[in-house]
Amino acid sequence: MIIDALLLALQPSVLLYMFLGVAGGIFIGCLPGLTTTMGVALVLPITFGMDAAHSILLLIGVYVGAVYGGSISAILLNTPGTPASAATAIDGHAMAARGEAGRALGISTISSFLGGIISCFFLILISPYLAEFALQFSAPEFFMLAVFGLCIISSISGRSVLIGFLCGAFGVLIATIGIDDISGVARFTFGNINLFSGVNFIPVMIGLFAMSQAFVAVEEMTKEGRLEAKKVTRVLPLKEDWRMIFKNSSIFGTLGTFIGSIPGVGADIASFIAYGQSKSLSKESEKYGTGVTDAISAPESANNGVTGGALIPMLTLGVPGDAVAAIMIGALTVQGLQPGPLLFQNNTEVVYAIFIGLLVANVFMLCIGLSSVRLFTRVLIVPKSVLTPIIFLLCFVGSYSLANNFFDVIVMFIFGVFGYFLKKIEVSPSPIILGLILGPMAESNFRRALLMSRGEYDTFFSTGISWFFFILILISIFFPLLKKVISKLKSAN
Amino acid sequence: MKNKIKSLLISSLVITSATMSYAANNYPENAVRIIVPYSAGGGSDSVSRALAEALKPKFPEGIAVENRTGGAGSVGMSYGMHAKPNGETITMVAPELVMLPHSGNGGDIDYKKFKHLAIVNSGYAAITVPADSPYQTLDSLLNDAKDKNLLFGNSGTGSIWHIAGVGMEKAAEVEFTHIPFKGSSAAITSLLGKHLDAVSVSYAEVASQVDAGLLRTLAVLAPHRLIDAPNIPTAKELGYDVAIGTWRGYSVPLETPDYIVNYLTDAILEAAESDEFKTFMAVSNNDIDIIGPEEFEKKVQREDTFYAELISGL
Amino acid sequence: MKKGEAFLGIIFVSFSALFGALGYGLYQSGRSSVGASQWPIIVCTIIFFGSIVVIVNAFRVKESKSNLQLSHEEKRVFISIFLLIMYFISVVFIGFFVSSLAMLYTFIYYFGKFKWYVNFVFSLAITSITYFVFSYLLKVSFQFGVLF
Repeated sequence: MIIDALLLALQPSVLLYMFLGVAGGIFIGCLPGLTTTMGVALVLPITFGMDAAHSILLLIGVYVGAVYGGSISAILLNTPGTPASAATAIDGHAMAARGEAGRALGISTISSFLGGIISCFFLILISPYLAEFALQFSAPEFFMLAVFGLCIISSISGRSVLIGFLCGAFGVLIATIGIDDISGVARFTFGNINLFSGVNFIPVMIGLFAMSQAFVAVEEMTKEGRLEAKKVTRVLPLKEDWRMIFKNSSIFGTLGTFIGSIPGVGADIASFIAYGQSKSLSKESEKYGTGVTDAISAPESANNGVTGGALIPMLTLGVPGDAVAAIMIGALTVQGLQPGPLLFQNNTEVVYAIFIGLLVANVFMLCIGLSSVRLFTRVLIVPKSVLTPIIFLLCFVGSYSLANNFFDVIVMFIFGVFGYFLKKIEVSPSPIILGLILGPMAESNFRRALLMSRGEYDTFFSTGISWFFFILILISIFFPLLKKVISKLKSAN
Repeated sequence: MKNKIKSLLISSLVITSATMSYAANNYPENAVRIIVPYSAGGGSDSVSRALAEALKPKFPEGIAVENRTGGAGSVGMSYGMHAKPNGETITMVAPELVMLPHSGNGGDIDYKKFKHLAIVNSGYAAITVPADSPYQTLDSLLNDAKDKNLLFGNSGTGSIWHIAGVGMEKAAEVEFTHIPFKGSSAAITSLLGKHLDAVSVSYAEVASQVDAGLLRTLAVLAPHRLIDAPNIPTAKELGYDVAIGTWRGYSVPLETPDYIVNYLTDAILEAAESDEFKTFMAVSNNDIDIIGPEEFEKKVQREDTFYAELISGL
Repeated sequence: MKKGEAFLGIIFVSFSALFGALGYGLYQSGRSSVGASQWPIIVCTIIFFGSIVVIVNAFRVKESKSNLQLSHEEKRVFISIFLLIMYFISVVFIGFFVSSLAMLYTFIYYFGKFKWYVNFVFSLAITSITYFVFSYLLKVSFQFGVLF
């Protein structure tokens, strides 16, 4: 059986497709606005003419590449290519600004690789158990998870926790625009049809990060045209980084796999949670935001950890773990395969080929990533007077191509100007994104839980998982305070 | 003089009709696009892409699918409704076209502003429970629903599968607690985790779990038994007069000239019969259901009044 | 006082007041115990009072320099914002390719110090590559305006 799968997954043409898929995925992931889901969806029609192994492994290649690719633009240009790398941008760009772009990219590449490999092993070894665990999640658990995610705001809000908290709430409020999931009522749409499905958070993200960053570049532009290009000397992590990378990858790769296996929770949430947890575990948490290596390694290993996790519900239950897995299910059905428990029985070789393919895709990602770090960093040599207009153009095209809707461009632009204003007063825009991602999840699951319990509030404390998250929420609120008190006591002694 | 004017008029008429027939021969002059109001990778998208593939021989300049998502489909359908009526923009429409306006969430979409060409596919709701659920038949489920307020999952308030659940409860004169989810797969996942008593999403969406023995479909809300599931009874057979389902049709703006409408209708009907489209639909669990323009027009009108009643009663 | 933070606070206060007022008019419950309006109203209340604290704090802090004048660099940003608005309008009415070419040319001319033909080659190359990649490889439709 394994030999069949190896023969299937390691055909030269499959390997070629996967290689191209990973490379294309990295390219799509780099570009702001082209998300992982979109990249996979774009490739989908091409796969209709292929056989099952070619088709699914090409898609997996694009998936793995795109999740990693987002970190490249996040580090180099402070412009996360996908929402999953928004957390990486915080410290990644700070390192690049220090002239350590190569080192940052190296750390992100190797962490992504290790996170992906770890999730692969979880997928192969314990996926039925993880699926069982994921099915325990119902509305109250999702609500608790969302609130736990929102607690991370305090870690990413930068200078002032109060303002960060307000920005997060602002994001939550923006997310309530549109037709309400639960009651079907249109809220705050002002009769505008484009607002019926809400404000898409991708254009908001492009505006807040990419556009505002471009405005900052305009401000810093010197008429001489060329800023002193910092020479990229190293493309690999330093010796002392390796221990840190292995530690973070094993912790946060596992975390990413678990989060990925929960249907409906994706790489964006995983990477923010990893950032927040890494900060609260760290001994030098006050340095976060100034270019700490842990803060790149943790979210990157978590978001690539999601790739394997997201395949678990798809393979074991036939339900998608995230939007990308939903497209893969479509691809498999077109091939006449039914994802789900029957796939293990009827097409074991395809399942094993997917396992092997995921491992190989991660290896390709490592090779392409490391060999082209120098190439990527060339982007910093491009004169800002040329690079900035290109970013303007990409912001426009990226937000437009999401839904072929000009309205998204307007949203992007408004948030671009707003993001520039936030940058001027040194307020971090990350909490807004987090609020936008987690706000709807918190609200709809809160109300769904009450519907399902017929109005009983004790539903939120009815299972072990809810209690687990509740305790985590308490810890993440009070642990930083406790740490401060302890360090004060110590210094007093 | 009079004669001269007459002949001039006639000749100009002849010329215009000649140019018109010339234009008729000339359509499709440019690339044609199919607006799909749902996201890439979903059912509507893949059916439309497969149809576009089968239509290719008829459109030498190319035919492509364009996703314009948002507002449960209203954004894309509104865009297609306002497109230039030159046959270069075809819109995929679904029951949402006649459902959303009644809940006030449709923006300006109006089925009367479309010329409807053909329906190629339909799918019906199925009442599905977990495999180890105590309910073996639809009757036992509905009997319990009388005093137990069962949890009924659907794909979002106001969505077609929510309406299906409502239609079921009306037909059986019981009341469910409807639990809306964002999309069918989230509802199915929750059902798999046994957090719900039943779901009312389409059979195609639960088919793989039903085949694997994780879920059990008690009845389909269809006018006839489904080809994929000949053993599952319809609600009608069991004595509940309810049949609710979705369909995927193609329409153009109302002002589109007749020769283009005819060309497109013929092309779509022919493509839907093609072998490659049939194979695709078979492997992707979609049922082919071809409905021509007249019947399509009537169906839309019928469903408009049907949903107006059902939705206003929510 | 910290002008920026006060300004942010004012934006948030007005925003939450508007949404709170609108949210109050929303359909309250229906069959579920928590309706569509509670959540936004709670969030609005939090933002409203939080922002007032921010505004008060901002006024308490004394900041010596209070220049209302925009710096030279900031003026450049505002000109860029204006040019981009012109660009978006022009994309809709004239067309993607032509407008993007003009936008790139203008900005590179404005920011950089290149010979006009170098400038033009840059703009043309970038526009063409973007158009090719998005329109042909990624199948994004750029059907705007009168020109292409």
